[in-house]
Amino acid sequence: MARVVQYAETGPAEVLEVVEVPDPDPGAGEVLVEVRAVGVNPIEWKVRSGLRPSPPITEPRRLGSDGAGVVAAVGEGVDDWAVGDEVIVSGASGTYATHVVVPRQNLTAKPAALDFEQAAALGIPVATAHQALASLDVRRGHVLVVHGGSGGVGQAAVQLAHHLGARVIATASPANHDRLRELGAEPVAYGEGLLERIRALAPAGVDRVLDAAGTDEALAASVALVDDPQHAGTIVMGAKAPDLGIQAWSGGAPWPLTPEQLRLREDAIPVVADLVARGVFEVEVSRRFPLDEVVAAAKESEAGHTRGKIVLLP
Amino acid sequence: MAPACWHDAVNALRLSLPEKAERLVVRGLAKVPPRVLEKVVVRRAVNRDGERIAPEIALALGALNRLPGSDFSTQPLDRARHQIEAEAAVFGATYPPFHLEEDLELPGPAGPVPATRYRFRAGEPAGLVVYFHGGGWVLGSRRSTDSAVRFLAQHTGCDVLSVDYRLAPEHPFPAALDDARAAWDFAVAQAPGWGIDPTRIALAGDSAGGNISAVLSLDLRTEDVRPCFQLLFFPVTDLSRKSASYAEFHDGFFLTEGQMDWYAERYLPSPDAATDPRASPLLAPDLTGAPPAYVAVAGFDPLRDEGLAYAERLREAGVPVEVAREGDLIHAFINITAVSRSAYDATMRAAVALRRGIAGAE
Repeated sequence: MARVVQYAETGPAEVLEVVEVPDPDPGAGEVLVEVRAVGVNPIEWKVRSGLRPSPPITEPRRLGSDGAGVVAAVGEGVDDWAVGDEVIVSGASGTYATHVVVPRQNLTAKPAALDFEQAAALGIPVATAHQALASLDVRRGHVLVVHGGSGGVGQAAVQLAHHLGARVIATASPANHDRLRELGAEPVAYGEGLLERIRALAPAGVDRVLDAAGTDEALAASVALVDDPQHAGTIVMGAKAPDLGIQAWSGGAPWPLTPEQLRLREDAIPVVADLVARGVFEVEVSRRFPLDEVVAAAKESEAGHTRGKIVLLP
Repeated sequence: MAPACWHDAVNALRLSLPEKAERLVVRGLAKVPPRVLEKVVVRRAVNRDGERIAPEIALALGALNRLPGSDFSTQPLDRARHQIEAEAAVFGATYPPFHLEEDLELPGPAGPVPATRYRFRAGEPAGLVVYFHGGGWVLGSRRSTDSAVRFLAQHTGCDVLSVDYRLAPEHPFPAALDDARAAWDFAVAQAPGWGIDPTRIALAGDSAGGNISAVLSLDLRTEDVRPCFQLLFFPVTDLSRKSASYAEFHDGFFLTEGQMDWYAERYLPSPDAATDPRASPLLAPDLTGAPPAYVAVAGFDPLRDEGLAYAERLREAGVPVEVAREGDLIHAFINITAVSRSAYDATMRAAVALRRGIAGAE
């Protein structure tokens, strides 16, 4: 029997329940993965609580897009994966489980140098950061500002941009400034005087801005810092993007991701897994919960104070 | 005093026992008929555009990816520089002595620049090719590119001047370009004495050398004597960003993203130099007036898309350009002509285009 997390109605974390279901069979082009670690992302509590609109629930809904594990069975026509392969799951649905069936294209080979927890933690933050930096056309030698540099997407964006050879200035609360320095960024505190502090660090100007904070202050600073508002983008406050003229991707953006942007998201996982294996990209897993304690994990995620990544261990 | 002959030096290149064994095994592959190879090699990578890697390359990559330490970017510099020469000796074709293999030292801005002039057979050459080897501006030499330039010399009927420009990190950007410019000036001055019309001099290079050729081609647009042709093998054209082919082929296809990072860090004196059009010619505002070009890209190469993008920009600028998309090949294929029929054919196509480009020069 497999064990999966599901909920029958939107609401607080307590609506989540762990239930036993028969072992699922992979269909044509699908793979059954025995899940070793699950990456928890904020989008999951936002949808579960009803904060982010979703279609009406007609049958119990499973959740989770990211994870890592071992291939347990393959469906018809799958010749690129074999039982026993260690894999990263991203962009799937229902990874909050001991077993999950996923289309084979949602799998990436897990480099041996990554453990399952790190591999499960890549997913959404890495895909989002990679795509956002590419869409902003961040280049080697650019000065990039990241609002909210210590969150999941923020940390990924800081590291990817630093690795590309951009100079990164990132905002965070002072407690996280050392972390940002470790990742290659120059930290600044947000709040009163933010714009002046950034301009003091980059008197010759800022080339690109990525907003992963979504505050009014961050959005105002984003627009003020760049010559062309299209050189700034947000991943959290998409609804305000049209008025500001900035780019926006997911996060409530009024327009869908383009095929090119979706492809960039898919590209990110193998590329960044390789960077982790090479020791040039760090994945910070800070909290681990057994699958049975999914309610506690969800509350932790919703509270939003965890700097690194939360993972579930089935 | 007659300079020492390079050919001897190449043959005397000391290969370790594993390197010798590898050479034997890999060369044996070349003797297997392609149809047999296709049956033996079951798992051949297919890229997003549906191109399938050549079977002999799939096999060789399998061997290469299993060799510990085969990534030279993780090695000490002197060891890495040896390895790239040893690899060239393993995978490149061997040649009988040429009619002329002349080692030269041409005057450079920071001292003499070593170079070798090759002439395949006696008689009047069809022109001159000034050649810049690959190796990320950090590795590579006349020695590592010996097989490739002999191929071009033999099949174009041109003299080839292969240039050992200064390498990074000892000599970062733009030192290599300064030496390349000196080599060009020297070639123009010496050509008549070598029996070559200075209007029949082409620039050619692979990878980082393709970058140097492209940049120098742009630099020389305002000169009285300009190159009549540029041959760019899988060139680096934009160090400031990573195109989609970087993501698709970041690892496992010989040239890796990690190696490109390693090269760029050493070549560029600071990251913001990446947006200098002389480091990234794709960023040059105007390509008008560049010499006619042949741009060869490999289907499984992180640099594929920037090579294609540069060719497209040349075309938009009205430059005659021929693009060879060698869909079943990997980066640096000109160095594996001894072990890959497909690489041999692709390099031959380039040689023919080069010969035609030089012959068509006014």
